[in-house]
Amino acid sequence: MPDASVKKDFSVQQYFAQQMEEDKSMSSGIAAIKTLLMVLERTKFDTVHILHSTIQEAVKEMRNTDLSQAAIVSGTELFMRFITLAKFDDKPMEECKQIMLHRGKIFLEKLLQSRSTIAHQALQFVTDGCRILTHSRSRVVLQALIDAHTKSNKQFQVFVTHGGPDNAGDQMVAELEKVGIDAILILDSAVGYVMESVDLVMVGAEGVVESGGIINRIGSFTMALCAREMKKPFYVLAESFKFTRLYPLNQRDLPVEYKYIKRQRDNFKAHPMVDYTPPAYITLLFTDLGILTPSAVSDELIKLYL
Amino acid sequence: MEQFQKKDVVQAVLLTDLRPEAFKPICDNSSTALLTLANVPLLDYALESLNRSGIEEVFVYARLHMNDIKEHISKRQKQGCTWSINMSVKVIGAEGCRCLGDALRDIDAKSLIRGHFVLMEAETVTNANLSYFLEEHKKTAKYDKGIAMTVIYKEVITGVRTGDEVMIAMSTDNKRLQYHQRIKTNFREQSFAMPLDIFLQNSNVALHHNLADPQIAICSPLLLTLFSDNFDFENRDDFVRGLIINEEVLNSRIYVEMLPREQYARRVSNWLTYQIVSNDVINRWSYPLVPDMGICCLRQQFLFLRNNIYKHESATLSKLMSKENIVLDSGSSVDTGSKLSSVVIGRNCKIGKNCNLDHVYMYDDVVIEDNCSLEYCLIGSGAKISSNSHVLEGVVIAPKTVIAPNSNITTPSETDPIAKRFSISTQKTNDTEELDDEEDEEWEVGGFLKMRSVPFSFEDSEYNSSTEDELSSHGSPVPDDTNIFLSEVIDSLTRGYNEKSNPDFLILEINSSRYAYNMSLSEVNFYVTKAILSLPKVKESSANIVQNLHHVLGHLGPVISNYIKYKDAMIDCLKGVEDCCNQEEDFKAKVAQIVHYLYDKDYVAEDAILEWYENLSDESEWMKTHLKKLIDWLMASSEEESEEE
Amino acid sequence: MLNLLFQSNTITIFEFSPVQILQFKRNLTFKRQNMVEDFDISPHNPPLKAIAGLIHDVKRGKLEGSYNITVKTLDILKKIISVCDWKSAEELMKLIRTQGKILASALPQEVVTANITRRIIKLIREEYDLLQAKVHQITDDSQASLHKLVTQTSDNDISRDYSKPQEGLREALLDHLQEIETEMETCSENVSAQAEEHIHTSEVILTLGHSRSVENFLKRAVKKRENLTIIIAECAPACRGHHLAANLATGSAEIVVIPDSTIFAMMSRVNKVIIGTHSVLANGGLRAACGAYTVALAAKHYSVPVIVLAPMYKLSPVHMCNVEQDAFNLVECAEGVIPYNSLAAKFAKVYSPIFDYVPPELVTLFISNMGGHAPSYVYRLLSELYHPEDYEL
Repeated sequence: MPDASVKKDFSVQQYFAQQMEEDKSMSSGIAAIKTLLMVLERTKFDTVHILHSTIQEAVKEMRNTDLSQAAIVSGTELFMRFITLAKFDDKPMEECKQIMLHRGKIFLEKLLQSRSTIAHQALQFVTDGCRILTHSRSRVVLQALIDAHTKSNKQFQVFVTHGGPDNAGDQMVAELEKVGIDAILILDSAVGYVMESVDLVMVGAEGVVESGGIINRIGSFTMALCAREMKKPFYVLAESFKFTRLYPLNQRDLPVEYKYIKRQRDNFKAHPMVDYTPPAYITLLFTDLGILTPSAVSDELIKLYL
Repeated sequence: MEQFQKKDVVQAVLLTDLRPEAFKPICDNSSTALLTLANVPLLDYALESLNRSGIEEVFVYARLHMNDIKEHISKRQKQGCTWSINMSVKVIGAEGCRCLGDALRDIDAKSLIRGHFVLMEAETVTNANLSYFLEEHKKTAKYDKGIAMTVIYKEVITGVRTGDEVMIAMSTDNKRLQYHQRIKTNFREQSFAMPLDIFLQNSNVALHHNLADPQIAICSPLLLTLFSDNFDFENRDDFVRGLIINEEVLNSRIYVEMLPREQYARRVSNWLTYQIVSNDVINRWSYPLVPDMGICCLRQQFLFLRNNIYKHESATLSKLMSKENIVLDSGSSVDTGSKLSSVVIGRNCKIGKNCNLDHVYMYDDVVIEDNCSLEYCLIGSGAKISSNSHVLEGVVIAPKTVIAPNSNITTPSETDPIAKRFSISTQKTNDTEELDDEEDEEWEVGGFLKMRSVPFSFEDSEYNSSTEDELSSHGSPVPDDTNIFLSEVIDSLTRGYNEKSNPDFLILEINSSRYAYNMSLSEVNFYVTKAILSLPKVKESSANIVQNLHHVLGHLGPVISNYIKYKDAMIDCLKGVEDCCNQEEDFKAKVAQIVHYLYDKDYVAEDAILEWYENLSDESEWMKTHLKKLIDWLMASSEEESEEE
Repeated sequence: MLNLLFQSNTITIFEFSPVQILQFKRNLTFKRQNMVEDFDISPHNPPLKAIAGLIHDVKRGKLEGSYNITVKTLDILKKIISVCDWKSAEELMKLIRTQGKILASALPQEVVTANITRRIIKLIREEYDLLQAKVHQITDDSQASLHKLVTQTSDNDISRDYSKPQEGLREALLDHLQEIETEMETCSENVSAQAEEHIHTSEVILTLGHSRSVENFLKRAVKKRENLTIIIAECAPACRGHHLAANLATGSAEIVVIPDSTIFAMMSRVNKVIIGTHSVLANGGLRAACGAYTVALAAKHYSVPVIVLAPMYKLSPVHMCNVEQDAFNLVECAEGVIPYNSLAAKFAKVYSPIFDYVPPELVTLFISNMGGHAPSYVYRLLSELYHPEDYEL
């Protein structure tokens, strides 16, 4: 029984929440992978099957939280792939575990580096004197902007949307201003208004789907539409663990658990938390795998899951 | 070595420091060739353009500061700059050399030159393809052994005088230079005296007055011998003049080439041309010698941004301010709120907040503090302008000068030549304070022109000519046909009146003048009337004008009646009177009397007067009050007449 | 990729006449004498004499056209490999990289120099791996991918060690360089061989300025198809379109030269737009002659397909971040627009840019020596051509 094999003092949900609490700048996807690694370490299993079911269980528990679903899903999916792709048939289970833990750590390290890789790629697109529009708070956008300002001493102006309903834009502005970047908070509804004065749009993403489109905080699609209409480049900054095997064609296709927080899932009047931006509206995606056009994303996913 | 000598190496001679006085105080201790323009020494521009033209060997003739130039050249060669590729540069020079002539005689004595060569000044900035002109020169040399030099000119905008403009005459058939005159900077030329021979001996002569002389010439070896033989040739103008005058004796000729449209060439000869050439470089006329293409270094380090801004990778230009035509070199920064227009900023300069800079040229390490306003000035390296200062047109600030806060610095005004030194009330500076105060003094041709807003006299000249036209209608001595005619008529009538000669003869005389100057009949009527009123006898006393007129017309009456026969002629006559009265203050009060007298004596008829009166010009509006009575009276009498009928 | 090259059995050289090649070869033999000096690596003087000479020639306008520049760069890099003193692949890569960087910073607009440098570094990597693979068993080193991310182990995670000296690397490299040279020689022919597939009888073709690839392409089309009308936008102020018109005039096609201002008006009756380009950017956008954007937009308006001839060496893994920055454009002499001695020249700012950026969505098809590709496919071609670590030189 999986439950019996997990030590009593370890609760997946609790550990997950604790990870998120400890490091504010960590993405929920990373936290999920960390948690799974911890599960792997603490769990005793005799067969691969049991390992699988244990991890599935843990994933289910994490998805039961109110955090960004898309990243948890894609992160854990990637981890599952990581487990399944590992080939060690002829070794005893305990040794397998050790090897897996070791590789898991390397895997995690790589993922943790990805943000600075992206920041480096985005650097050349942030030019002196430019004006950037971003949507609410995104950790990777934040790091890219801070790097551009502090490492290469560029002067630029950032417009940040308020980002309802949780108003994370306030925090974003505060963080940008702390390092001396000229940041301006705007209303979510002012996106059309400021669009003519900005040079480029830079947003993060909770998930990157197979078509090359993105799933991101509600309002991103509106911003992409405005940018397209005013012929401004729309750049997405996303780590590769956010690539997810999903092929939505419209907003309705998005899974319910992505769109609504847990207690509102039955309420048809609830506000959706995320929207889907089709690839046609995205100029480029900056990822730790390189600067990709939306069409290159599916290539990457096919390479992994084929 | 011998093999090398035999090879046909394309050579060039660069002359430097021919007029270091023009660049005071920056060039007091250094060569003018090392003066930087858009942060690159002029010498590099010259060498780069020679290299692009396929020149393989260059002699830089340094008159002064030879070591500086040598040092600069070897430094550049070590850096591996572009002009050092496929081109060797040697610095030569002599202490006693005073002028171009001496330099060329020295070069001749050292027998360095082995063929046709390019002679240029190191202060010339050009992107011209000289190899083409060199080939043309060689072609000409094949059939004309007496070719001494091909001078190259660039067409420029007229109306800006910098001392480099020339007026030339050339025969278009063989491109030979026939006449050469440097145009003065003060626009004071009245006329150019050209020998008639030029036009008699050549079937087609072109006169050019819109040319600048960038001091580029393709020379034959013959030129060196000519200089050696004629010790009085000091500079190139002497040589050109001497050669044109003694063409037959010296059996050598000068040819002219115009630079094609897409090729640029100007010489930096004073601060004004420095300013003009700087702007031309910034506006890319000298392309590819522009900062972003890397003028003499391999790498391109400048970004070219909108509004002609050249920014070094490491410079910071804060946003939100108006700016255009800027060169910003490495390590420099401009703070917020400053307005810059046509500004060159050297390395590691700092410009504070809310400054207003217009046509300012800065060397390295200059500091300008907040709220300064500078225009048309040059600032030497390491100088510091403290906050709230104003520096005005034409000022050149020496290196390491410190200007105290709230200073106001100008050049001495032209009307006050005594103000050689001037104190600035609030300034506390060290001794190096020095301002170029000799700029306005004339110096042979040209003079050291200072930086200033360049006037474009295009509209001005048109405007001037139109005002001149107005003046001529007032009878001021404008030497045109009508005035000559008028003066002849006056002469004839004066003589006729004094000598009481037969009026018929006078009429004949006037008629012959009329045909000589092609006057229409109404003009004759007009001028004869004017002439009579201008006779000395009539003008004698203003009080008795009518009486005098009576005397004169007593004799000359038949002349008037001969011309004034019909109504149109009478109106012409009255216009003549009107014109005289407008000019002569004395006549003004008497206009009614004169008209009345003419009417009394039946020279003019009543309806002519009325029509003339109706059509009086605005200028003669004042006459209406004087004539009012007379007209009323005339109207009344005509009414009476009609009633009588 | 190489198979394709060898299958095409007609190998003709388009850009050089036989006489020119002879001269070229003679130059080479002459150069060899000075080679020791030209390829002398000294720490204080980073650009090799040969590289500095190349830069100088390009700057002076002696060497023109991306094909010629590529061939010349390839030639110099080949000589660096064969003449210079290097002991390991790493050393050689470093050497070529520095020279490539110098070229790129001196001639930022001529991206082909950087492209060919990347290509050669990739070749060195491949050859080294191949030779190493004979000794040790090493899995294929593909670029960063999600797949690699999850499958990597600590062993092959460490980046490849190129510092070991390798026997026979020099020879192997020179062998393979021969292949690249052959590809260069045949690429123009391979591009124009596709003319018949795209141009049909009685079509109206519009092009802009003068591109050598387009000229060859159209010449082939004129030979094979009848009743063609070729409209050439002159591309002021250089008006290179006039040259193209003159060069095409010998054929049977009707040639129409139009000023740039009438491009839009003419577009309604055009069947295809065929243009050359200076380089293709990583996203499939173009850095093409000024006026190309106008043409592409007008074509979009009338739904006319835009075909861009771009041999592989013009594919560049760089992105256009900002039109104004990064030396994307080159602004020429103002004289081309208004004369220096006009009054307007004293007051007006004059710009005469050389390049236009054309976004990928306006391009229908790229034709390279390898066939036709959609703009969205460019990133795949790039990943085949260059090693991702070399995207930034």
